[in-house]
Amino acid sequence: MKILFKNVTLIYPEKDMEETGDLYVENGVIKKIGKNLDINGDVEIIEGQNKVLAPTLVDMHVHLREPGYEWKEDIESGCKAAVAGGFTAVCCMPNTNPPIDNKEIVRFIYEKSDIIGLSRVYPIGTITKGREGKEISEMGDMYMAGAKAFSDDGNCVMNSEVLRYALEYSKIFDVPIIEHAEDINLTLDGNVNFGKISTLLGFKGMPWVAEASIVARDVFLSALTGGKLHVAHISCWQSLDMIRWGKEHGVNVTCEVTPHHLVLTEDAVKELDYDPNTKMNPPLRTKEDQEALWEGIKNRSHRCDSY
Amino acid sequence: MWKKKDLIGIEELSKEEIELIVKTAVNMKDILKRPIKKVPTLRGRTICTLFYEPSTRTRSSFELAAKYLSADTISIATSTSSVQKGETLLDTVKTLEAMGIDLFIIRHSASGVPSFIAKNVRAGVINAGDGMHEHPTQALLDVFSVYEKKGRLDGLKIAIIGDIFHSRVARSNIYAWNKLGSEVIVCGPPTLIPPYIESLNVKVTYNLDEAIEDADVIYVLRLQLERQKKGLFPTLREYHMLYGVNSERIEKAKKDVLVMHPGPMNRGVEISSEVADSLISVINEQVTNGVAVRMALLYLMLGGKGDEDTV
Repeated sequence: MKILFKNVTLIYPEKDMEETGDLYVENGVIKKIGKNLDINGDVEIIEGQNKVLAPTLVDMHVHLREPGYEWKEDIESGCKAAVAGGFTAVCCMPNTNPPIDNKEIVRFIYEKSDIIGLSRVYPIGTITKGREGKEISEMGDMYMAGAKAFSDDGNCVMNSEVLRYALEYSKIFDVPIIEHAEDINLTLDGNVNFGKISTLLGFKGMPWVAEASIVARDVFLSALTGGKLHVAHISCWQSLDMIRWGKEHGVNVTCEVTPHHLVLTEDAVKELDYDPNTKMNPPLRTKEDQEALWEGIKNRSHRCDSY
Repeated sequence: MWKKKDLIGIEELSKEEIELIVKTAVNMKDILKRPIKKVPTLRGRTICTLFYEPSTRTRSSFELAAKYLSADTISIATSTSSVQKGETLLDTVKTLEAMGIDLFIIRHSASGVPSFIAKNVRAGVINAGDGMHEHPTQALLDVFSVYEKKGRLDGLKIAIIGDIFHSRVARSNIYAWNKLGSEVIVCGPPTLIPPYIESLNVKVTYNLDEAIEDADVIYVLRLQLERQKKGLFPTLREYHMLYGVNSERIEKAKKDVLVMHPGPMNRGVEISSEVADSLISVINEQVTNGVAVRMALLYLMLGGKGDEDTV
């Protein structure tokens, strides 16, 4: 089978490449890349104007909700959505019920996703037993079963010493600790950003400090321990500044930002008249934060982007 | 000749002093093999063991060593002494010194205590373990045990496995092997490796197989089970999976490797019974050697004028 893509936008991030051209595939193998390719014989031609051709994507932060919350999502529905969007590999967060805090559940996810056979699924194990933030989980056992990172996502590891031990312990396996940065004492009963909109709409609000203070703490803990830190879904410019500070000082830290925080601000909550879809954690922030996050994408402060 | 009033740590000893203790211990071990294992060398000398922490082997080892050399011994168990009435550490020691004690053997949970006492009494002081600092006589008996089996003290590779962070045994062994010209690699989970340990001229690895690959001695430390409760590692089973020395691991080590442990062991945690009771294990021998080394030390610190004296 021969396919020729004409005048398509070719993106190859690994080589920092983005250009318009042709790409020729023969029996599933890329044979030629260039301008105005002319292939003889029985070739299917696909016009690529305004289309993008890129390596398949990896989403390092998804929730497949299985086991425990199958009414929201399950491994099969999540994998179908993934491949429909061009994602052939996803890393699933462990805030399931029971949580992915032991190797049996890691194996279960591998086995089930293998049977489904759509995108590859890489489980992320919990940082602490039961995602309770008290004692580090059996990372070694889970790592050997295939866990690719550790996170209590949905919960912040509030006890600094527990996170410190987690960052230290994970060095054995050289995998990242993914933090959901949120000082829960500052966000209790909040559901939108603490600011103009929370005042106008009559909400308590979640201040940016709840996130940025934990990011700062975590960057310092990563500096202390040498452990690999990845901060999930950052939403304010202060967090991004802390990540930058860490990178400038040689700290092993990366972060991610979600598309909704890039394209929406807290104003959406008012514009859409309290639509629950505009309420999330972390909350949509201000124009200033949104611009800083875009700036971060452009100069690659994030290093990882999650969708 | 021995010149020091006290023995607080291996850090302060020279290579020659360590070797002198080992050589003297060789003679002392001969005494232990005699049917009547008693010599009059330290007749009229008085030794006091003052232990503020639980101990079976170190304390009985010191007391027997003193008795085999004919010294008089008293032992103060702090739980039944006037410590319970609120007497300060220094007052307790000064009171005992006033009764004629020549040498104190002190164990305390706080690092620095033996050194503090030594500065404040005329009697000699031997540190029998202070907090997370040093346990010099343990390291000396370990060195002696290796010497007996390997016939040398330099050019060896010593792998110390386990909780380095909280271990005075590890620190004393690191000092000793460094001074003797042998190489030390420490291995354990990063939560149990103290910062800047490399500054003591040791290699660090988190991978057990790498640590024991070409080791001549595998020194397994005791894992204090309460460390798990403090959250330093997830579970005992995972600890054994990653850092437990068992037959499977030993298969990858040198054929003539020695396995050591300061005791008391947690079988099935840091070491498997198979290994602890195998032919490469010198764990029981270490206990016997502890008496010999402590006799040597008491002899050098309190004893006669020279080698010819009674031994």
